[in-house]
Amino acid sequence: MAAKTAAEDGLKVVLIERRREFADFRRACLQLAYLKWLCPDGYLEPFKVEVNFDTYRFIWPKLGFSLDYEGPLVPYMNAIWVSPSGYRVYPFKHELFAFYYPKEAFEVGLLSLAEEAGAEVQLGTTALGAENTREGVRVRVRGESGEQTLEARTAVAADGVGSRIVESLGLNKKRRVLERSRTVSYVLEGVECTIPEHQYSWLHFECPTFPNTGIGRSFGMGAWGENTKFVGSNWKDFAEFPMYAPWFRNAKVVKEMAMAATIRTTIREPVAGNVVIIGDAAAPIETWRQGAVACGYMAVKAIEKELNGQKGYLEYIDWWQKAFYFNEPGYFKRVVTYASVFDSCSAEEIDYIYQLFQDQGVVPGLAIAKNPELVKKERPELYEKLKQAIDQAVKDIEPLLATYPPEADGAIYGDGGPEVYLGPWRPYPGSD
Amino acid sequence: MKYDLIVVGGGPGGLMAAKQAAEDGLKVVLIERKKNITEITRSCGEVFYIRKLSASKAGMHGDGYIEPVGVEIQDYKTKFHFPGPGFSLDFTGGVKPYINWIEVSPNKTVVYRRKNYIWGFYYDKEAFLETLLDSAKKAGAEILTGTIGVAAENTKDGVKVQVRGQSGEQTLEARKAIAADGTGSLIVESVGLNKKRKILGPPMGMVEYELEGMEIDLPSCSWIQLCVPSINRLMTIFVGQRAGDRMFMATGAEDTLKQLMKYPTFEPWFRNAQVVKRTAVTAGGDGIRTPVKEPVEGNVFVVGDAGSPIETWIQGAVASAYMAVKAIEKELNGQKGAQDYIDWWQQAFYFMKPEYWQMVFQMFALANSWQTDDDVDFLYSLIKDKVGVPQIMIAQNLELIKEGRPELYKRLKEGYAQAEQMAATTIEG
Repeated sequence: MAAKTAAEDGLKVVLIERRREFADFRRACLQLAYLKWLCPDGYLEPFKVEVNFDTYRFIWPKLGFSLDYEGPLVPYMNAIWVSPSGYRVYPFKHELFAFYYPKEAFEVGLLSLAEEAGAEVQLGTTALGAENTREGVRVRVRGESGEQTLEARTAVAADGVGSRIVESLGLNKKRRVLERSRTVSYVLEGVECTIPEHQYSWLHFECPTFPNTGIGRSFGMGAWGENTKFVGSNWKDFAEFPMYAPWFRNAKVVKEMAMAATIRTTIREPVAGNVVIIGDAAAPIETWRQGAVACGYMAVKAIEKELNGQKGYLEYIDWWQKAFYFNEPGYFKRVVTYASVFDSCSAEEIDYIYQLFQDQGVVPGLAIAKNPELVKKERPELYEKLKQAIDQAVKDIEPLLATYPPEADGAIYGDGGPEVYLGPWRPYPGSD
Repeated sequence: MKYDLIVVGGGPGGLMAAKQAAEDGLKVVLIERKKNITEITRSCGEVFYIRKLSASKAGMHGDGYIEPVGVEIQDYKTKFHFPGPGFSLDFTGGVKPYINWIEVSPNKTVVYRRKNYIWGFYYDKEAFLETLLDSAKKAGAEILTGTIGVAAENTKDGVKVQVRGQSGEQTLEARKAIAADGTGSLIVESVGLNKKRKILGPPMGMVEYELEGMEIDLPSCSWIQLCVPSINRLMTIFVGQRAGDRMFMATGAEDTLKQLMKYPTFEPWFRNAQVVKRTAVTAGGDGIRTPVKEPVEGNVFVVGDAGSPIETWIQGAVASAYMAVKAIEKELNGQKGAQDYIDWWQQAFYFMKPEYWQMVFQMFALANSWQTDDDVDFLYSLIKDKVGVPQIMIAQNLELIKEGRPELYKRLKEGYAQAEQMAATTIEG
């Protein structure tokens, strides 16, 4: 998006990409465009999808740009959370909350637009590091013909979580590490799921015997088309549960995707000299693709201002700090309490909690982490267990959160964050 | 004169006309037969169709509005775009995409009219009407419910509309009138526009059941059409989406649901199902007619189903209402608006084109040719899992039928030949 926007605006641009085959996407990604909040990882600003008779259009109304898209668009109509014994809670039921749109179509389309606009593209080339100079920036790259240094007036680091550019600029020194993880995801064909609405759904199974994947002990599965499922790394363990084994009898892996990531606190000021950091490269985990695209656009607009002698970078930093919830500590508190609330619960206890929420549109883990008092009267021991897990998680994360400046606390919403994560975007002041 | 515009009918077309005219500053009164204007008492698919639905384009079909439209979705807000006429409508009711259109034979052989792409959205018609009604009222339109528009008469400088309400009959006068009183329109009849229309067949009755707890073992987000001649000779058993987990089933005969619930292939769908609402509709008044070719008669403009053989779809009713109001405004300003509206009408609806009628008559030819459920299973086995319009795909594969079912082949061949002839003369007729 940055290359496309900059080239369209008349800048001389080169895009460096590690993959030799641009369309060979191998990093784990759910590839969703979110219309409603299922989780608050990513981009907070309004986002629209327009379904037209001959094309689709993604719209960023606040930023004033849109992108046409002609690839597949698969609706997500249900988010289904399933307890160990099969109790189902629907955060979204028969309600359009997201679309799957494959990278092979969307990102490839963006690349074409960038090239058409005149951007030079170097595939099979890794950016090793960047160094600010007096008048610009030097970026060291390694391609098939060896190493070389490219020079430009500015650079955009869009090299994802674990960005080498970010590391080389020393921006990771101030960040605290939450977790180092390696995730493998698979694309399966032929899964014979018996949950009626599975075709257009995200399914989340609570499995207390699983190791904690970073977002709890669980297994996730999403629709990627008529007969294709995106599944988490632990699908083979999941497929051994007698209840679910029949689903996978005829399933075959058609793609494997991996991601090694060090999850760090956010870069709250994602500009270093003449380098602007965008998307996941500055985020703890992810900005979502709609957030990354927004960053690409906003970063280029900021750069153009700077090149014209105006103050673009400060505006970019200000926008970034409001447009992504992970810029305030409350985000991390919610993530860690959600991830650990069921940590010491038995399958029976998780079933019990799921039953409390069976007819409510909530994510059970988020809802109980928010209000453990719900079980206090009937199951005092469980309440104590939950409370302890939540308190411990918050205590563990306090040193990390101390690295955030005091003004970051409640900076987006002012009151410590949304009550629940589900539902419409909750605009922060000035975002409408 | 008390009014600039009388709108007869408070469905989507009428409400849109009243809203638009009032917003544009006209003095408007809307007449609606129902007391509760937004209550849905007539069966309706409640689909906003996205994709252009012409037989020549990717094997799709449709009988309604064929100009491009768009749906914009942002969390709980939806906007329907009509780029041709150049307006949009906000909507906050529920929408659910349609991804597949599946035709199913008695032994559950499936053929896809549309597969794996968003071709339309279910939208809550009651909520849609409420939105239009609120906007019309806010803009100052006067609304008379429980009142029937009985007839209209052009006068030298306007139109008189005879209405009947609880307090008896009265005559309203205005500079212009819009007939939005649906299929079988009394206003269209009274101004003589039916004289130029040919009756093609008897009126078409539909009964619709809204059901909870249906367990359909076909992909969700689908429009399903069942072809079971032993229950319903025509291809008119439709199953589609409603709000939440409700579905609807619309059919031509009252006892279809009972029969379907006992039919071995489909019985499991209904094991835990409950009917929660029943509506019915008779389309066509005293008979299905060819469309009104020139939907303006003096000072009376015809919009939506009132000028169509069966339906313009909700989006077509709304678009024609907008265009009729804009034409009326031109006329009131001394410009030529009526001809603009007629020209627009003739290109905006698929039923104005001979290929639409070819497809319709081919459908009847097909439905009149199969005699048993086994005939349908056989025909659908030839095009199993394919994507296209069944009657067109079968027409293209007639030779495959010749050997296995010579009698059926003969009936089909004759039927299709007749369909072609009838299609060629319908629009001209």
